[in-house]
Amino acid sequence: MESNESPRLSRYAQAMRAMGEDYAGRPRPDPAIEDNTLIQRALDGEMEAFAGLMARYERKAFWVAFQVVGSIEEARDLVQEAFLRVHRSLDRFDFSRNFYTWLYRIVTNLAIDSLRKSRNEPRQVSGEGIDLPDEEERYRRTASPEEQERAARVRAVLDTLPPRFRTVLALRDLHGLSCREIGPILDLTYATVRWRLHKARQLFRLHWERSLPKGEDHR
Amino acid sequence: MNPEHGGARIPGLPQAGRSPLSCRLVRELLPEALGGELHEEAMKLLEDHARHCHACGAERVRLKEAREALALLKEGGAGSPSLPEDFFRSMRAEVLEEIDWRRKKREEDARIRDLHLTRKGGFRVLGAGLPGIGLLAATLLLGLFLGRGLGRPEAPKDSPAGGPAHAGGGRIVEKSVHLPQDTKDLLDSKGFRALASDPQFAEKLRKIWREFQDQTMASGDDLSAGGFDLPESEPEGPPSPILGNVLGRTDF
Repeated sequence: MESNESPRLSRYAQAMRAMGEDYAGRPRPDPAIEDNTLIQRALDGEMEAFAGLMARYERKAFWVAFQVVGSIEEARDLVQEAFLRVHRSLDRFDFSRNFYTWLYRIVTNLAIDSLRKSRNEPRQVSGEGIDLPDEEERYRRTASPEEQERAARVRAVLDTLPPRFRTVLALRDLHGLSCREIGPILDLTYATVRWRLHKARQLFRLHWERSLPKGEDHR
Repeated sequence: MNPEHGGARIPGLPQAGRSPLSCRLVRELLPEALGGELHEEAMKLLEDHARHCHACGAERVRLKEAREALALLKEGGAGSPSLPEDFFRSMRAEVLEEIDWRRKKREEDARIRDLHLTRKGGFRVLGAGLPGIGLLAATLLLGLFLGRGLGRPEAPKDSPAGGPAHAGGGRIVEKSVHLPQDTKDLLDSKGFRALASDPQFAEKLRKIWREFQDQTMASGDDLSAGGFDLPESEPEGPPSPILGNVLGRTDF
């Protein structure tokens, strides 16, 4: 496996394996090692410990970012920026709080900022399938044309929602975080999260039904 | 009136008869019910209502469809991209590399800063970059010019020396040089003192000073009118605390 790795990747391969990874390269961090332990070790200058933290949360952070911004490359950049910010501010981490709450907060804030910046450049979604930008075509999932069309419509509908509704919908309905967990991430009270989620679901449902071709009520 | 339940009803209030919940309340709660966010008891009541109320049942079906459609965007769904296996590893490696690069850059910046500010066995700043030295010299010369300009009105007309009298005529006396405060601060700074204590740098600076004098004299400008004297011979007394280490001749 080592021989297939690029020099850049092999540099950290040993550390990755030490933190635990399966043969497919998917992170398999040792659950016995708590986040706070890894953070403390990272603060002591152990890059492997920070790599372990990344391995533990990078996937979830990426999907949150992707579900909010809808672009693979942008989501990747956002997550990378989020981890760089985490590393830079690690000495200010409050050990009485959850690490992932902090990370998700940075990721969602970056995603919302990114959406605001690109507000004047709406994504073009066609009915021909998932409309990924050219450079992201390689990530297209092999699915039936009907499924692709349906997924593209869902994406388009989600993109019509204001960022604050899109974020809460992504965290709750796509990620499965509880409203109690979402509160600190979005810096909202529990009641506000519940209200915003309710509103987001209403909006999504309304736009989704409007997006359906006439006469099509069901799949 | 809801035909499914029969009889008159007040909107928003529980329907008398089949269900203790009103249709309006049920529809408000259906999204939460589908998300599994209600208590078990409330869920049962809602399910029971939706089973008997055709309108609320249809509403539940539509909500469920919208929810299932949204789920296509979940990781692994038809609306989610299929990422290559090394996607996250390369993403992580890039972040770690960036951190490593930034750390090295910080260390390098700190090293350069230390070289400029501290004295560490010899005059390494010379090797660190001539532009810095040039800038320092330019600042000094600019300070001298400004000092001269500022000092001119104060120079007594009957005294060609301008500034206070001094023995020997060649020693620069601090009081006779009118330098801006920031130039004085620069000359008095730890970094500059470190520079000035090095014989090589002092020699360079002395050379610059002489060239400056020559050019100024050649242009017919009378430096002495500017409030300071030109060193013409070896100084007799101790050098100025500020300029002595730099322009004087005894400390090198």
